[in-house]
Amino acid sequence: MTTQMPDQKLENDLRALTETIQPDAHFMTALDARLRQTPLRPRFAIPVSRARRITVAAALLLGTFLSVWTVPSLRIIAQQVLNSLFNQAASDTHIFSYDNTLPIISSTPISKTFSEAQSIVQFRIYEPKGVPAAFGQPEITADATEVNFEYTLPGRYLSISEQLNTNGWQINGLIGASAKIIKVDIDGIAGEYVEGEWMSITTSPTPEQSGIGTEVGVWRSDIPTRKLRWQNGQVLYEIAERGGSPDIRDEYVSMSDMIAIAKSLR
Amino acid sequence: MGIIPDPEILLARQAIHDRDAFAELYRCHVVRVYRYFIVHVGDVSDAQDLTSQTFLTALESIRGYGGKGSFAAWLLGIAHHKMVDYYRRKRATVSLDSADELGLPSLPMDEIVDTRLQLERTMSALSQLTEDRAEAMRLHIFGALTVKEVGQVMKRSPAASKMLIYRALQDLKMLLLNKES
Repeated sequence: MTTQMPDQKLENDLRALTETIQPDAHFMTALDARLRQTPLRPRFAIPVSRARRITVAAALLLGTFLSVWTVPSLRIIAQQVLNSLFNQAASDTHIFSYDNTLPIISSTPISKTFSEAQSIVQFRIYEPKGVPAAFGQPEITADATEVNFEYTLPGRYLSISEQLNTNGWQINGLIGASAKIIKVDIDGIAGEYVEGEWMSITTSPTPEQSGIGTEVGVWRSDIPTRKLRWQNGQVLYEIAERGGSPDIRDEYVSMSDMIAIAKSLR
Repeated sequence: MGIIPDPEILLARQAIHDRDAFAELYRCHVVRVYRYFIVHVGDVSDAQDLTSQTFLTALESIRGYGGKGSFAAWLLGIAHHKMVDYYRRKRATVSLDSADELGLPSLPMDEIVDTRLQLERTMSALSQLTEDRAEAMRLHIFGALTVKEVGQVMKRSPAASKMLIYRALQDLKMLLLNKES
């Protein structure tokens, strides 16, 4: 660098120096391949696909309802399932069905203010309190039966959902057989806390292709997804945090933090 | 008339369910992420590992990118957190690996040596700045973020991040001139 060094000259020199640094080509290719082999994301973290899945789930639920509700013994079991917060699968591997031929219900929801959301939703909603300040202000989306508060930090995603119990949980509550459900008390209301997530391992056809297909998911308790669910009257609640890495485990919204937030939603 | 979203924001939304879209984002940003790390840690292996971690985290949490701010700032935000974690576990040295590992093999040997010396001096000077000024410089110069994007990552206003970068440039100028003299 030169002895006479105005700021712009120094900045230009530094940028020129920066241009000389290139990652190893083999490393870039290998990482590209690794990213392509890594499952796209935990299941049910995609809003677009979620809309399709909700439709499929609703259709399956209706079919199940019609076939089961007429048999008294099955009706009792069905009532228990509908009332449960999480449903444990028979194993840690599960085959999910999806239908990519269905129209997308919504793609880019527009964030609302809390009062705007309240005017849309057909039940009383509550603004979460106690969310770590680092998350900042949430994006709020709402329709007649559901409001979602979505908070983001780099690499992390916290969502708080309040929804009217019309046909049970619209957010899939299936968890792996090995998932540990922790029962918690939220000011006299029973809640359940779970850590882990389904990861897609095979998909046929691929999600990019249109069609009806299946997807094999494997439950992994080591994925840093944490969920707390509870029901108060006719309203279902979920607090979920996704993302992060084990290295920042002490920064997560902990189970006790979630319970504290849950207590504010009443 | 609605606002037309930034093409990269659209690409990021598409990347939620499209591997090719994420691959495109990866190709666009891998070099800046790597440069940000190499100037931090001075070790090729660690820089590669941190770059990998950053993109894997980005892939897992792409849903969390809501289009608020640029994708580059979001990605470098992840990188910034990885760097903080890295320093918690291990205080990095500022010594550089051999020049050929730094990705300079296409240059003549004398230019490689010169470039390596310049990098060493720059990293050494950066290590003498206050941490916030040094980080603002790394994000701005090596991460190729705009002043506004640096502010997004460092949770500062654009004016505050501009001042940080300005101060860092002043400090660097003094340090580098002192070394030369």
